[in-house]
Amino acid sequence: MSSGEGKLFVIDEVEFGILSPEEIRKIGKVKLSTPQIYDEDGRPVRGGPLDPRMGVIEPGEVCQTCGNTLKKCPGHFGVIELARPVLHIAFTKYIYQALASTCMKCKRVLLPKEECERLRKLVKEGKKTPLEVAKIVYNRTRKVKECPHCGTPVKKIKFTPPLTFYLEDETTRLWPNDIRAWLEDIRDEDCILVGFDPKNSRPENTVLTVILVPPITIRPSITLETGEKSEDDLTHKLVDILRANISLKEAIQGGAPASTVEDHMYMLEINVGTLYRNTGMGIPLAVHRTKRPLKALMDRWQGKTGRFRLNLVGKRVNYSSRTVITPDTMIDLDEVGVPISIAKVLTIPVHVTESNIEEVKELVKRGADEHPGANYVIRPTGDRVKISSMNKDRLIEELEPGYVVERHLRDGDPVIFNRHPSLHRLSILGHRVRVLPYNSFTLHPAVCPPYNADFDGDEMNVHAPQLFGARVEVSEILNVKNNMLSPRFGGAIVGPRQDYITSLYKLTRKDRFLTKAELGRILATLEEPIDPPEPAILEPIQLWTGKQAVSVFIPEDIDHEDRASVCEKCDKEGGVCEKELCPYEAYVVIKRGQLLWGVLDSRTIGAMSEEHFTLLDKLIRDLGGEKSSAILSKLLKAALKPPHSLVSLRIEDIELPSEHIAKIERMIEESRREAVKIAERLRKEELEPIPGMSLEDTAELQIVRTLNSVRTRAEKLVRSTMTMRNSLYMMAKTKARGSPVLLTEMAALVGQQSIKGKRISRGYKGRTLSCYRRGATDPEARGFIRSSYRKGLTPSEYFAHAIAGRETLVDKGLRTAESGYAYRRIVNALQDLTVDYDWTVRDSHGRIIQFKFGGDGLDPCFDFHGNPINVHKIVREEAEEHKNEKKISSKQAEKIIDEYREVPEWIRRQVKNEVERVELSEAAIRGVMDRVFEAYDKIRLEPGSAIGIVSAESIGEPATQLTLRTFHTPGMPEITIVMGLPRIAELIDAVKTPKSPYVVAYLKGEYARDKKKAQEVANRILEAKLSDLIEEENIYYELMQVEYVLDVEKLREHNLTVEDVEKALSKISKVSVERTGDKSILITIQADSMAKMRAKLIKVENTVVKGIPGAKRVVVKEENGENVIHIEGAVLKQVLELEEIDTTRTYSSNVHEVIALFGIEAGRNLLVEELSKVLSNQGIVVDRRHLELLADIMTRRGELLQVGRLGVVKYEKGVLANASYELTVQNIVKAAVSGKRDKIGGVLESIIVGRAPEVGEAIVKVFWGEPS
Amino acid sequence: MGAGSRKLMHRLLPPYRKITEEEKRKLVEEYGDISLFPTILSTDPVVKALGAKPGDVIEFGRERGGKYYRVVVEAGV
Repeated sequence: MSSGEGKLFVIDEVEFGILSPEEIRKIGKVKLSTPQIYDEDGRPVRGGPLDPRMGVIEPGEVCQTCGNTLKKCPGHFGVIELARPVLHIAFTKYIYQALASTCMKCKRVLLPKEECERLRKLVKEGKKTPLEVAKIVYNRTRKVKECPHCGTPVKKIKFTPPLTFYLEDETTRLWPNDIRAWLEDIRDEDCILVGFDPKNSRPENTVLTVILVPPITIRPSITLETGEKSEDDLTHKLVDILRANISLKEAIQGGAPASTVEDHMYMLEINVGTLYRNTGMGIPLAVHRTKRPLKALMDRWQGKTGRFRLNLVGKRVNYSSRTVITPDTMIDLDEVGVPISIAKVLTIPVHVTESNIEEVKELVKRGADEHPGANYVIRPTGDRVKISSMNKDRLIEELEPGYVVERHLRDGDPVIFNRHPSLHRLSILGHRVRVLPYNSFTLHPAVCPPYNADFDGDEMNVHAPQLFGARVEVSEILNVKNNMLSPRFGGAIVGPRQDYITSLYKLTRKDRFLTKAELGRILATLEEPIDPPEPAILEPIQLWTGKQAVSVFIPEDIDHEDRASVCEKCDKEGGVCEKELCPYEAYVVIKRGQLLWGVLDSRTIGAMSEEHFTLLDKLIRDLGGEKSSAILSKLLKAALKPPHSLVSLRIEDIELPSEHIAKIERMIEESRREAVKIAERLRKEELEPIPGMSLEDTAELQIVRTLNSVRTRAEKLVRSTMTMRNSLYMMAKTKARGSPVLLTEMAALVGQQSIKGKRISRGYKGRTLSCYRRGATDPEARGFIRSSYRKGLTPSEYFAHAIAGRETLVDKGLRTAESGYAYRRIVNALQDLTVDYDWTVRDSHGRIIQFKFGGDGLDPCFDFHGNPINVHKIVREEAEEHKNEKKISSKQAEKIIDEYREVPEWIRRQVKNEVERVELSEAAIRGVMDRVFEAYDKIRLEPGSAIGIVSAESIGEPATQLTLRTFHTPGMPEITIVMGLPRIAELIDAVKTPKSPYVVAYLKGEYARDKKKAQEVANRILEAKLSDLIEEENIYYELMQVEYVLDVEKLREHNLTVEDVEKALSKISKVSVERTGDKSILITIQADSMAKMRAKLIKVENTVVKGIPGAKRVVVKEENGENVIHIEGAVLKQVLELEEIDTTRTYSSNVHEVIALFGIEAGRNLLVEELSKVLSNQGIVVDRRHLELLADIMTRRGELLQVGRLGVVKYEKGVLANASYELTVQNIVKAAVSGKRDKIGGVLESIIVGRAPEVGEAIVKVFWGEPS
Repeated sequence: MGAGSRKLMHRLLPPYRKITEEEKRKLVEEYGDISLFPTILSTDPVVKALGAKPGDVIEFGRERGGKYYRVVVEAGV
């Protein structure tokens, strides 16, 4: 077949198998026989490893097989006929399994007929895969002594890696040809039982008699600058194989002694083996001249730089560009500034029509060098002609409809803008081109948050979509305007930050008045003339308030009430909020589009307000992306007008009055003394330990608390001295940038530095720096910095600061690596999940993961912190509309509301709450509900939505922000709890034994109320081992006796008597107990050796005398007015057995434990809760729906599956998805042996075979005519 | 409910019940092939508490008024 032309096919399914020698000979037409690559003239030898019939690699050359040139010749396979069969190294494991499970004489599986039949049925019914059955067969046949079919005694097969098989204890070697013959005799129906698929992969084909030689195209030779030719690794290997093959052939034909033949045989085996795999197979590594290991065929697949992840799943593109980004506040939100030099390279194809031909001619006339020009003309025949000054005129003459011209990028063209790492959907957005005379891409600062971009050297990519459909998709679906909301937390992600915040704050403050000229400058950004509002002050000159100016931008139907970032939370501790009279102007009221009270700052208008429903959110919700982005764009331009946009700093901003400095000095001295005192008390052992903590830890905790209290008090002082006139303070208060903590560090003191959450303790022997005495107790010696940044750090302080600074950097590096892997795993598990037409969430096999996404089918983008629909406004308007009609009771109203079953229950409840306040007519209620339903229909997830990826990203993206080391929940220093990234990893790994399991035990009635009684229960739970209770032990080895003197104090603590201990110990076998004093007991151990006695001794000391084994620490805590016991240890089952426990609420942090006791559904809920705990612990908001989806895919099968190659990916995905995820080679080999078929359906598989994944718009299919 | 089964209750366990054959039929009508449904093992405490058999469908309450259905399957296959 001459390739390059022909029909196009779509790959639906991929079938894996092992080629038979006949098939190999059919594919490989070129027979290789000589190791010689080139002849004397330097031309490739026919029959050599670079036989030209296997394809061309030089441009201009014509292929001798297919007659094509480089571009069209696909390459052709060759074959090497081996002198003797050789085992394929990748299959040895399966060869062994097949041999060991079958009879050496009759070649039947060594199990009774019925048994075989039963197992075969399992495969046929799809309940088990052939490989799973093969494993069962292998395990069962281990004990079979003789063949149940022919009665031949079974001989053991021994496999010595890499390639040698023996029959019974290394006496008789099984040569590859013996093995081949054996495997050939295995019947088809038995193949399934040993893991092979008889149709596509007969077991004997794992023993090679011919080798399929890959075409030259995949192993091209390189000509070095010196003119020397360098061959590909594979070619080198082929040379070795051919050589070894010839030597072996000659040895056999020459009748050489058996040992010589064996040697040659070995060489051939090794060389053929290393052609396929050269890593970790136990064969000597084949190396290049330079000692570099050769890259074998299968090694080429694996890893991040392998075929799968580099070329098949990730593809290179044209029409893209990359450069540095810089800010531009004057372009629109959804624009991107493109340098002319780039606009002249990126092109868009224009189809010449009668209506645009003149315009196109103009473009061609300007040519490639002048900006709005064109680079190529494509004739209807398909030829591409580069436009140059030479052929320009001729081309213009020639142009006619049907031609295509590739024109330069110009203003308004939709392009895709992207910044790496693309952690979420919003890292890739559609922008409008604005060609500008710079050398960098420019973007509006308000669009930085979705990209997580700043301008310290970041680079970004622009892609120019080519097809008309793609251009429409970019401008209508991908564009910034329609993507201002984060699906992670359901709020605005595009919006003002930093300078915009301070500017808007200063503009909206009470003391801000604008002259007519200043107001004019602001109104000018509206780009259309409007009547200015009435001036607030008429005489002596007309003045407008800043609030008036801002109100011009807010549409009339917006009402909003909020508290700004500058709020001092006066009502928090028994105080009263003065609301409209707030001295800080933190109480914000907008009525009918007028900003009446309060200021705009981070909380009211800032981007990425994760927890809070802001004005910006409201604008987007009520007006939609188009209008709100236009308003935002203009408002932000107005915000940057001077003078309110100007901020100046001076060094005095971080200076405190001298009396405050003195006060801070005193505070530091005080706590220093306190810290030294604590250290002293520790030394003298006078310290009272906190229950469950060692003395040292207690002292450390107290010292740190003391020292940190200085910082907190200093912060208060700083806050009290600074005012909003201080620009730094203003920035911190409005949350534009910085924080009061940083101000304290600048003005007052830097405070304690720490590594791994502890004070600095490493460095020299017994001290942190050589300038301190060993064991120095003063805080400075352990990294306490008493200077401020303003004052400057002493050298030793500077050093301590550098230590802590370094940890931050190291931590960041580790974090990105770890969270990146977690991200990859989550995405791999969830990426195929989409919403179906019946609103179910399904994977590519159609399996249901959720019946309605999140229970309500809502797009988390539009959740708006629980206010997805402006119910208030709808009700108000409908009431107005139907005000003269007959009202109905609220009961009737509720009935009507509930008729709208498709509207989620919780939204209906919101309507009911709203309706309760107003009397409405029936028509009004129906009107309300019709509109609510319409609104809901717009914000639900559409069929086709790739919600799996979105959820995965929503969990993975913030994972980068999680800390690597957090062990405590605030307020519970006693119990260690793994939090942060390690905990997330643990949860998605479905670890059977988490690092710090704990049980939260709720108590029944009186126990919950009475602290004392609760403590009693807790004491009973707390485990006490013998080793915890001993004061002294005397071991008499000769007598095999041990005397324990018990610690009376400890006994009392645990509410135990010596008798209790005696009783507990007497239960151990071969140990006798004897009371020898009022607090000592003697143990006699019966053991016949010293080693055994020691082992027994350990057992004795670990005896749990009291409590629940494993309950290492127990703390009673008051929560919401009841006493709750927190227990460290995986002891849920035992705890639930206690009578005082409320079994309906007590739970464990170990998901497996909960599943075992309360079922999979409880487990999935716990999983969601635990994930959510970790995230909210660090102030990260992720819509619960995302966590629920992750939990649902992990529990879909009724058992907990790990997110990764051993769980979700293995059980729920196909071969190609598995191979491109992890363990590429192993997965492909497995698929080949068992003849797996892979339906192309998932995202990964589709990309691999070059098909559009069936997601989003691609789920729509068009049928031409009646399907047959 | 089978003999000796006690009511299994927990804060983490949403309301659950075995659905009738009629409901099951409707479910299949709405969502298609029952083999594509989420599953619950026959060894699960909830299945035991309900005395459900493989092939039965158990309904769970879910967040935001949603419902979830799991088909009981034989454990260990």
